[in-house]
Amino acid sequence: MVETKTQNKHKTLLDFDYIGDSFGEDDMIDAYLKGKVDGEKGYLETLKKEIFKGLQSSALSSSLFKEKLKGIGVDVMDMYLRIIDFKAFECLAIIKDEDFYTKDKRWTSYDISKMVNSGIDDINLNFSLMPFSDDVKHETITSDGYYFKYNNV
Amino acid sequence: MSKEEHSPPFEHALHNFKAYGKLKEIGEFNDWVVTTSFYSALKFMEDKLFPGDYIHPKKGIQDTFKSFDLYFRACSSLTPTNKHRVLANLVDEHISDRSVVNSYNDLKSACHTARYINYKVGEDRVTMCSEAIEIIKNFCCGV
Repeated sequence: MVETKTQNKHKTLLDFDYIGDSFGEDDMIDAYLKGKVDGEKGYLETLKKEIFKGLQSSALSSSLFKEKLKGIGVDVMDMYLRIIDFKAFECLAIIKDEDFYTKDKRWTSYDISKMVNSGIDDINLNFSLMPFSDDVKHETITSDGYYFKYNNV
Repeated sequence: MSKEEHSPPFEHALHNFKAYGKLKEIGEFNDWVVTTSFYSALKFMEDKLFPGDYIHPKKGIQDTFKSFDLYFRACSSLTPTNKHRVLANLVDEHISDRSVVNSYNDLKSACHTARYINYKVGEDRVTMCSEAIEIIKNFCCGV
């Protein structure tokens, strides 16, 4: 039982007398604190589910983005995902450098990324593009929070 | 502000553009050419977009924002966010010329992903950035 300052069970309220001792202030405080812990646990579970749902949505949309880019002749060599917040995610797509440096293909890829994002209701998914290079440092990408790597290239 | 005077972001944009030009001439610092071209574009965009009327992120009604910093302050009070992301969204939503928006995306991508190739920036990336900053500068300088 939580120690409280309210030890005096005989204190009076305006127009109300204390008539029992089966449920006092200490019981109320205990119930509140337990409820708070249970509530927080429940909220944490909800947040975890939200983030996982967002990640699933991002993963699906990123795969769709890759397919749509294939449709305009742009090869995606690799993709990474990161969490920005509960409702915002980011996909880094590494594309063949010849495709990246062809302005029409690159600019159409931006349009496609915007279209894919606008088709998602529950989250915001931003796409970043970069050209493939032998100098790509995967550990630097991961250190920027991109903890999820596409495994179906 | 008179016609001859420019806003602080515009002056800053020109300053960064000058640095970009000098570094490009030197030819040994491609990573800094990319960085200065992006930060020149960023300031050009700030100048173009502010002061401006935008939906206040908290109030949900249109409000006048004198500067990007004031707009960002209103955004950042809601959830943690990133200045680059906020400005990029404004550029995408409020700049009508798509070639300017795409050029800004080019510069932002080029600058932010240079670290993933250990800043070993090649000529292709420099050429892309040079084209992009020229498009943005011409748009903002009324050329």
